[in-house]
Amino acid sequence: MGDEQALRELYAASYARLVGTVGAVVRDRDLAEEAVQDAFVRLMGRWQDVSRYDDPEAWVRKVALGYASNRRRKAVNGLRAALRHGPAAAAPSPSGDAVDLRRALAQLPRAQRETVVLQCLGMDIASIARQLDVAEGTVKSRLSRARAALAPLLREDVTDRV
Amino acid sequence: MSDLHQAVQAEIDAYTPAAAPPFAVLVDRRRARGRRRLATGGAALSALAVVAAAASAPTPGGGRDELPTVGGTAQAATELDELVERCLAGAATTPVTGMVGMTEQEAFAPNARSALRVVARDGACAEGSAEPVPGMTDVVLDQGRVVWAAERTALPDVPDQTSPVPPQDPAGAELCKGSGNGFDCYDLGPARAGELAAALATGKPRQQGPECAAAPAVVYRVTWLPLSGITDPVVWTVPWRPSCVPMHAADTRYALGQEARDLVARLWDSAGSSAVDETTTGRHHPSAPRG
Repeated sequence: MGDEQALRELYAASYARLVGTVGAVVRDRDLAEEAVQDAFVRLMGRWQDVSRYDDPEAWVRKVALGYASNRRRKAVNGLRAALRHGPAAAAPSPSGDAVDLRRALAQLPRAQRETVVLQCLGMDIASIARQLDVAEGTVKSRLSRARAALAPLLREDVTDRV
Repeated sequence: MSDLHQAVQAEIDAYTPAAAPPFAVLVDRRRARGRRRLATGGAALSALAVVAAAASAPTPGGGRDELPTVGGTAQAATELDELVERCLAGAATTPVTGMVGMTEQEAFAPNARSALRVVARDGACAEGSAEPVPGMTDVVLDQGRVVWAAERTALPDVPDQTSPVPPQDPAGAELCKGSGNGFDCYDLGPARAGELAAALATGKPRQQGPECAAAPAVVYRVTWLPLSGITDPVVWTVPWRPSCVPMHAADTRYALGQEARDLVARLWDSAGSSAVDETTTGRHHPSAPRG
């Protein structure tokens, strides 16, 4: 029972954060919620093993991102449904450069956006590489390209990062 | 914080829900997920240990305290998961039925027959029918613990209270045709989905006969939109073989008139043959097997 309690606590503590992260990658909250919930469902069957990991939340995030990636078709359907039924919830309304930057961020290829989001969570290159199952060089390349694409909208120096 | 970090954080904030849904949602999803996985066909057995150990358990009338357990909670759940996996992998041959994640009360509630029941018999691994199959073994789990199992030869004739009902005003539908090995699908627009829903609503409850237990058959499958959020899609499998509901089409609980069957076939042909107009017929895509 203690094991299940720990799982419940992880769920309560990390669900919203994980949905936000996956949502920022796939740009669809419904899809993100579905992916995160399915990842937790998978975790339920493997909790005995995963609970021993240093960071079970990272395992859930990885699985959820994978699910979300595999669900592009459903995402399209979900988006159609969302459009028909109205937005799920009001989102903040930024303005000015922030809008442009977010718009540009949204237009990045998914792999680059995913990498940028994970980096902005504070993850280092090696952690991102493990999370995405890619080489560290690939992570650096994606970040570099993403920053190059966003450079016109960034006030910071893009050459001293990555 | 850099501009980029601020932008990313704004994105994350925009997609962050205020709260997590109740944990019970996960249990429901797990049950539904198992149902979909099992409905893909394959063959059967494994958790013989689970079944065998539980086979001598008391009947449902027995007291809860007298019921045996198999392993710990997580172990029993894992064993059932393994059963599912092996069943799908074609490694099993023994009849097995299971109800996952249900309390004892739920398992024997009037609408329990709509719950997940793993059936694996004669090389066919499938979701259970709405009707008992003589000789079939039921395994009832309570939060992963096997609390009851028995050869079941009869089941009270209780109306199924949870059969999927086509929505009156569907936002759309995914119409698929195939078998347990895979489906081809088209997304139908609202108009055609509405037409289909109206036709399917004329169906009558039916009982599934054991004579249909074996052979997988080509079926049409309808999934209504919306698909997203915490609500699992309602899957409506339309029997293509008019006289026989295939065993794996567990959500087929209605007999359709000839008119409705013709409409389904016509919509399929229309969707498949028309120059694709995404506003009406949607896009063609293959689909993983699903219940």
